[in-house]
Amino acid sequence: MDLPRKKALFRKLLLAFAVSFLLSNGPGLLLVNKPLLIAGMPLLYLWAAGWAAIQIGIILYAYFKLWRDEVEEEFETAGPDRSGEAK
Amino acid sequence: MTPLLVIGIYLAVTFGIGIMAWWRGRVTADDYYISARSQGYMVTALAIMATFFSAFAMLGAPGMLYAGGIGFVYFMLNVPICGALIWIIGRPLWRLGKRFGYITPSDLVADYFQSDTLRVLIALLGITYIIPYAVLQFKGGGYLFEVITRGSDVHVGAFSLAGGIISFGPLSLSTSVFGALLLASITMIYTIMGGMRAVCWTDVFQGALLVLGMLLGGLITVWKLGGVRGLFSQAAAVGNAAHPAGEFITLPGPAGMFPITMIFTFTLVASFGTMASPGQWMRYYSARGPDALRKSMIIFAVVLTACYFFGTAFIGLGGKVMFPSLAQPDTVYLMILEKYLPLVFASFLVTTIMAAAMSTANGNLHALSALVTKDLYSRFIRTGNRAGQREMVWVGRTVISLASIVSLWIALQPNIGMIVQIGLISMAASLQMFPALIGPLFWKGATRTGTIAGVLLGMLVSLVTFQPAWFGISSFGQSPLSIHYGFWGVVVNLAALYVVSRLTSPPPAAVIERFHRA
Repeated sequence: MDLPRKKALFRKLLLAFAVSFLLSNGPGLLLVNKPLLIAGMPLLYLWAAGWAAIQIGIILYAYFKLWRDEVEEEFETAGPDRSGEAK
Repeated sequence: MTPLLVIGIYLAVTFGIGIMAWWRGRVTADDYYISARSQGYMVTALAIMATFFSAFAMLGAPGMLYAGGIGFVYFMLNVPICGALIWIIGRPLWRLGKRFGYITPSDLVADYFQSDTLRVLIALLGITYIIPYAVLQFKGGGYLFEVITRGSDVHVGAFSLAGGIISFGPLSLSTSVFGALLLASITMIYTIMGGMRAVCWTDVFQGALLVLGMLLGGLITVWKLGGVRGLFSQAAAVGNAAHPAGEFITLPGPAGMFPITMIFTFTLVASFGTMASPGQWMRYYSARGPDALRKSMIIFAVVLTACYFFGTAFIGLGGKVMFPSLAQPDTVYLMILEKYLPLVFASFLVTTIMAAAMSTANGNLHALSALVTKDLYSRFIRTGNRAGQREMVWVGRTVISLASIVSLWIALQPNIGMIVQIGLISMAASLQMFPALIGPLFWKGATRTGTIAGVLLGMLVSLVTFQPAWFGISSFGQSPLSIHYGFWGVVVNLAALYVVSRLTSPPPAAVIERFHRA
């Protein structure tokens, strides 16, 4: 994947993550703040667990689609290691 | 005798790992402070997790669920954000650290903005974050030792343990004091000897233990309450005359602890504040490469989220069903262990909580030694001729010794109310370091003056909204509008950074290019 497409995908995933956070921990909570049990579990617990799964899914998608390729490039372009010197 | 044996085995293994790390290390500053940037992904992941997981995660978090209901589950959603940050900020920090030889957070920020003021400011914010954390871990360790040996009656030669007192000949101490002393001593010795390598290797063992401890705790709770459905249906029915059934599984909860604005803002404060803390920052530097950080991100996000949702949540919510009226909610996990498990297993699980305390303390004490040695001693005391590698290591070791002794001394005081207050503000203090990263990593327009103004104003606003009474303000209380004080601080921090940066000059173009093309 070329750089402009990578950047565009990164922005989309960042936006998706932000929206998921607004729905999980922000105003989205108002939609589900009820003492209901679904399949024996509180609606609020399921809502949190569901969004956690979606957020991890976004991270995994980014891991496979965006970030895996970057590793080797960065190793090659990193400069000389001067960490042994006392600064 | 059983609890002492279990604790003894745990401490001996931890100490042995620390000594092995020392054996493998070299007396150079980069090896002592950042393991010569050689940590693989499993060590990096577990070290980040173990530092993240303090005793609070295993005692305080279930206590918050116990006292405030299901709302605390939403704070757990800071974990996926933290996971993403390991890569989003950890990767560029690792890259710049490797390229320019940075060891501490201040190295990077001061080099970009060419500012010793920022070096000192960032170091002081880091120290503000670290000391209360170490104190609270030692205090927690002492408390756990007291709990685990409660009811023990052991007499072997001159040694005796009975009635909460441990004696050896004429010497006698309460078990809580002895426990804090023991944990602090062992943590201090292996951290002094092995540096970052010892911290990270012991974190691997401790990280594995605490993951096991949380998941087993959840499993036991679910098993005793007749499965997940049994647990939740009984939690939904929790209530009394003042708090009707259903309140426990809705917001803001029975004690009104979790309004949505607080959930939203505190989750952001906790995630960004924790992942920008000095201890975590130095773990990014010490990774072998981007691959270690990338895999750590996945391990952290998946494993810790599972621990919180299937461990902490079940312990806290189930504990309310099992023990409806505990005076100290923080003890709910210990109560479950004490009542439902044989002594040997209960003792083992208590050591997993000790592991959480020690792994947070060692990482923070080690980071403190780097901040003092590299940012203050090497920069301002040894100004004429630079400190050599050995000197840097030995100064760091001295700092760890002194910091451990001071932290332990504070932890042993009967009233540590003030340090708890500082502990509460410490995450907000760490968060104020985050905008200082914006210039080096993301925005070329950020200036030195803008960053200094942002950090100072952010800290001031955090303090004012944390304890308005300290400033003679009575028109609002802590966290106005139920917005976390750290969030108020960072909003002002970012605004000041933007406005002042627009009015002042950025760093030289060559510096900006050096960083942004690195």
